[in-house]
Amino acid sequence: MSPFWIVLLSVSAGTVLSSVLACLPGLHVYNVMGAMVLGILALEETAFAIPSDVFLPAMTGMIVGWAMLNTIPAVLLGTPDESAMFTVLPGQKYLMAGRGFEGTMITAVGGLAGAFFLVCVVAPCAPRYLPVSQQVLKGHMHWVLWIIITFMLMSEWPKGGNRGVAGWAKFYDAWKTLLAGLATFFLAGMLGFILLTRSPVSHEVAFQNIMPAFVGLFAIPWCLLNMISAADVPKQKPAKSLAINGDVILRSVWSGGLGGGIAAYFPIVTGGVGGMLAGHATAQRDERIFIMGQGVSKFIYYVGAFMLLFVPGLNLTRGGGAWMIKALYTPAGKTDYYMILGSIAVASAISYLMMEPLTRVVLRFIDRYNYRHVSTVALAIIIVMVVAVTGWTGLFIALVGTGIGLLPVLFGSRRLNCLGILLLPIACNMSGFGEVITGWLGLT
Amino acid sequence: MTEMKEALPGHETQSHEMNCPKCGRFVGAVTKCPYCGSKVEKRMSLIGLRWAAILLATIGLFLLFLMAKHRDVPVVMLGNIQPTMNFGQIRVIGQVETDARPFRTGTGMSFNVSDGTGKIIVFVSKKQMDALTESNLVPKAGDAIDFVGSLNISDEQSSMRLLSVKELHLTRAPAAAVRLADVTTAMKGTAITIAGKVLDVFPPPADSKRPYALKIKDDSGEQTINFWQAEYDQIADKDMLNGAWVRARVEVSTYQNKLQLKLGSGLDLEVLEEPPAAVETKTPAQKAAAAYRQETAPPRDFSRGRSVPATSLSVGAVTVDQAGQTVRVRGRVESVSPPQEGTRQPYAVMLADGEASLRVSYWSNVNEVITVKPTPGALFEMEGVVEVYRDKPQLKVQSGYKVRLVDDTPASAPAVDITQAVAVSSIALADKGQVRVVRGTLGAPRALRGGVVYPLTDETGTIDLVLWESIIPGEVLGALEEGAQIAATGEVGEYEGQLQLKAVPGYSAMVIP
Amino acid sequence: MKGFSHFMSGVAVASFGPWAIEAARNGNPLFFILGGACGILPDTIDFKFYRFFYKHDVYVEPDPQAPDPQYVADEVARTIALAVDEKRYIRLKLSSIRLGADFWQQYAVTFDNDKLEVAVKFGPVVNTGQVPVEGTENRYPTVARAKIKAKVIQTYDAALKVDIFDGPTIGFNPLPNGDLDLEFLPWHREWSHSLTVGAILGVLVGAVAWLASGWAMAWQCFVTIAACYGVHVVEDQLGHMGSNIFYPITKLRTPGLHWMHSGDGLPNFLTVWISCLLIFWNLYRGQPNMTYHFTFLHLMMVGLVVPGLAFGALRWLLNRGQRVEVAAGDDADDEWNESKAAG
Repeated sequence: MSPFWIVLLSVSAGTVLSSVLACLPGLHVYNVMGAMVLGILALEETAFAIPSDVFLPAMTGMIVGWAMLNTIPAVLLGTPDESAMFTVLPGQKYLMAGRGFEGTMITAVGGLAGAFFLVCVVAPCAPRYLPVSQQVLKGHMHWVLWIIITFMLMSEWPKGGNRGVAGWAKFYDAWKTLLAGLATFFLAGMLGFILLTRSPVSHEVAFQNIMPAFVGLFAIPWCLLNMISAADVPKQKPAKSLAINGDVILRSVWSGGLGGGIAAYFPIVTGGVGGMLAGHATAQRDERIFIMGQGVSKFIYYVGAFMLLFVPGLNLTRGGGAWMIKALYTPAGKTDYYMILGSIAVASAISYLMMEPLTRVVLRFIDRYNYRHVSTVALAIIIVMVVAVTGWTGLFIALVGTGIGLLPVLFGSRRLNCLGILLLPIACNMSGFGEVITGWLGLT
Repeated sequence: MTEMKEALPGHETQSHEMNCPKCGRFVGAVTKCPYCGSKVEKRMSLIGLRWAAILLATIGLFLLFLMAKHRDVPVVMLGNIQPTMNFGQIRVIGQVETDARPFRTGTGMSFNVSDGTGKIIVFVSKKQMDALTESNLVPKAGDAIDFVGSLNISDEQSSMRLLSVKELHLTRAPAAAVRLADVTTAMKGTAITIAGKVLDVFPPPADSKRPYALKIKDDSGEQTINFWQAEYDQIADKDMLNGAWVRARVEVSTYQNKLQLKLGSGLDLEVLEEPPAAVETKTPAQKAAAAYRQETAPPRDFSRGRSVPATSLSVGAVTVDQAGQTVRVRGRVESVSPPQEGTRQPYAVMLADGEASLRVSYWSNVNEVITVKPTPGALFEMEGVVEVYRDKPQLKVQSGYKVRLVDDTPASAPAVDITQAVAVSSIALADKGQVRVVRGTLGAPRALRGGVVYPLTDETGTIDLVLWESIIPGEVLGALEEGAQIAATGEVGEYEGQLQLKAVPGYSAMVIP
Repeated sequence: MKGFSHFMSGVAVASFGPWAIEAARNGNPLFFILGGACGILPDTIDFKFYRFFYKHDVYVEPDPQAPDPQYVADEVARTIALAVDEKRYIRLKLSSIRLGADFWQQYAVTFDNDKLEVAVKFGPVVNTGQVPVEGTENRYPTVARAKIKAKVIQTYDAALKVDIFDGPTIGFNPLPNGDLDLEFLPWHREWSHSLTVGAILGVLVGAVAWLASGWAMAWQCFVTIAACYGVHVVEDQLGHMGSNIFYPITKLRTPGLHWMHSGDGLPNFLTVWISCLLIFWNLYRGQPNMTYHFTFLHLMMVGLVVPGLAFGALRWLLNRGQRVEVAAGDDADDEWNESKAAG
């Protein structure tokens, strides 16, 4: 079979697989890719060794499919919990207004726009300009992380203190949410220091060191809140039109591309942080632009970070997918770059086409089954996965992460503060005083 | 005026617990109504969740901290490292293979460690480097080492990052006590202990890049120990050196084919209160044995935890029939062709062994890992997969760890023929691509990525002399400095409209005494 | 300007200090953190500290169970009467009305000086993104009115709109002619938005730095803080509301240059983007061993002009034949709302 057909079939298979997996709540594509990497390594010196022409496009397809379709569980299975939520994400508002289908499809259009932006605009410029910026920013990444942390902490709005006379009582009422945010950030940071310096997880599975903590910080609180939530998902109405035009798409690409780009290029900065910064920089208040921008941002963040590994002359590894590939393969030149770009384009088209049928399937599913039961099953799967990979120690870490991850939800601050788990220890390490702090803590 | 209103969208599904039971207003998650002050009862599940969150986030985190703090980092053999251990913290007990070398950027240093089952490069941050230097713990080849680091596994460059200076334990390799007269270039690369009376200390001239020179004498002869300002500052009794008896642990090396004794740390020099005991004189047989550098079989190479058996071959023994096989080849480097800037070509090295030659290629990222870069004339051993290139065998090296220097003494070091020197002003654009010899004085250097540029001035003009680290031996580069009189052979080129001379591979620049 | 624009401007100003680049290259992020933090600090002081301690004479707190526009109108009229009768500065607080986890009752207060009336209109219910909830636009069709004792002069076009989180403060200042001058958010851009406070803060931090690290660190901290704090004040001066530039020497806000509204999208984005390019240029200048070389003009062309033209052309292509409405900005209201909406 010619390399063209091998690549095409591989990317198609990877995309279809991850598109289906993306509909399962709580499962991350990197967990699946991690298992695949182990399989590829095991087969490496046998007669069944998998060549790079097969696994590279397949993994590209998996990342693209997941980046595009994991919106489905995020919107359709992420019912907000009125019992404690102070803010509700726009995607969830669409769900509660019976417009979940519209919300996911607008995000999908954003993903497709992100694919166009990445392949047609970023990819041709990247080999020429990114090595330059890389050389200029060399040695400066640490303070970029520090100013992101500074802005993240300084820009949170005090959500209380709206009524009553001036004075300390009002100030305290306002600052309760901010203090909860600061506490979340520093507790998550402490957890990060522990896990990055002397993780209790067995060294045999150290590549999943952070996984239990992330599951605890983000996935388990989401399941728990869904389970105790008193809200029901209203009947969902299919939309005849998405009410979007070229201007909305362009402005979504503008804000989402900036957010996703920041997250993809700078180390440790995630899509959520990039989205927050882009939201502040571009101030797009239209909810459609926000939702579509999230689609663009997520696509650029996951797929763009992966693409950076293959940019000729750049040699930049960003994101979990790229790190996993790096253990298997070292990209060499333009051939690989064009193959990856082609795979991204093909996978984007396939995953976009799969969006509508899969959304309808999930809508039928939540119509038939109580989403609280779905969340319970998801929680069980997550716990089994954590225990299977990292053992009981991993489960304990996940529980501690859950405690920290619940704080912002229950006390009205930003969940973004949970990212202190990586931002704080890595910024300290990059600035060269991480060891001083771990020394104070007695970890080193 | 109050008007009647219907339920708001979404409110029909909102829990009543979110409203004050007394006044009916929305109060959210609080337990006391901000409007009427009534107590708002919450569901047990929510109250339980709140307390569970607080306890897990504080006490749970503390327990996790205690667990981590008291955990012993497991000792792992380098040969047993698996990709699933990536980012893991492990303890390695082994031997330092190469001296720790600071990065050119000054942001840290690296050294290689072997434990008999494999080897790995260890990166040290700047702060850690400073701490190691201060405590005289900079690893040297041959030292026994026990340290904790975190793993970074990749297809090409698996490495470790030193986690803590406190958890690095170093036992220096035994250094034989040697009489000054017995120190020879045959001991190159070894650490020895010498003792004697200081005759003089020569500090470097102001604004010079030269090292300190400490001249000492014992019953058998005289030697000079070289060190830098940093090491000088570390010497405990540096003001009393002149005329004092000292003992020093030094490394034997060569500089421009002359013996050089390098002091690694000021803490390695001890001022003695009385003359040292005489060193036993070696018999001719012992001297011969000391001079003989035993070639030990290299430990199994570490590559992602898997070992690939390699057959050691001479250059001429590699044939196209071996395509696909992994072989190890030893030969002298004939030439090194780095990729042209802006392209993604591989490095091409020609290995020669007598009449036979073999093309070896590898990518830039492989080159970055190679500790000692191949230079013309040096004897190298390389391991890779045999491929067919233009109907000839070619060795494709996949890992930088598999390029190893055996002997950097060139078979015949090419000297610059000063008699061929031309005036700088005579070099014109028309000479582009031609090789020219020039002599003159070096100006202030400008660093390049992978090289350095010196303006070279003679009586007639100035031209930029470009020296790439990948093709010019380190000792040649190290000998050059601003103000030095040199002669150089290079190819005429042009960059941004300016003429330049690109030093040809090998010993193509030399300082004129 | 918005918080992020101020923040990035502060970082950009800090990057002009060669000591900041040098320190950063040695792993010390202090000056860049100081730059960003001081760039946003004047607004942080106002929005996160000062406003909670600012005393009001009248609090208007409508009942969420029975939102009554007439109550609001009567209270505003009473406040104005208080200012006229007692001939003193009166501060009025209009509180927000929270209806649910994500629902807020919006209302607007306007003054009709011809009829000497205050009008209060309850608008739609909005969510926390300030987007109206469908079907709630006409829940309260009636406009409540109350007579006021004096004309209310608004020097800029601030719509007194109350919706999410906290409501605004209004100050009524009696003028010699008997009219009242309306000050929107009187606690904002007061003493905190002055160059002198920036300089004093610089001196204080500089003194601490001097004790800790010596003279060089002291003056570098002073320059960074004063310049980055100052750039916030200067940027705000480009808008309508202005700042109290030399407090305590000056007692009132100096009106702005009216070049832009603080919430305008394009000026804010340009500020952020140009700040990024200036930071990049300064890092490039401070980076040794560069193998790539470019000029400032080249950077601006590649980073600003070419992408800007491409974006403009694409937007024109996509929007031709359509009418694109651009909402008119409002200085203080935008800054206040943007800060809240950003969460």
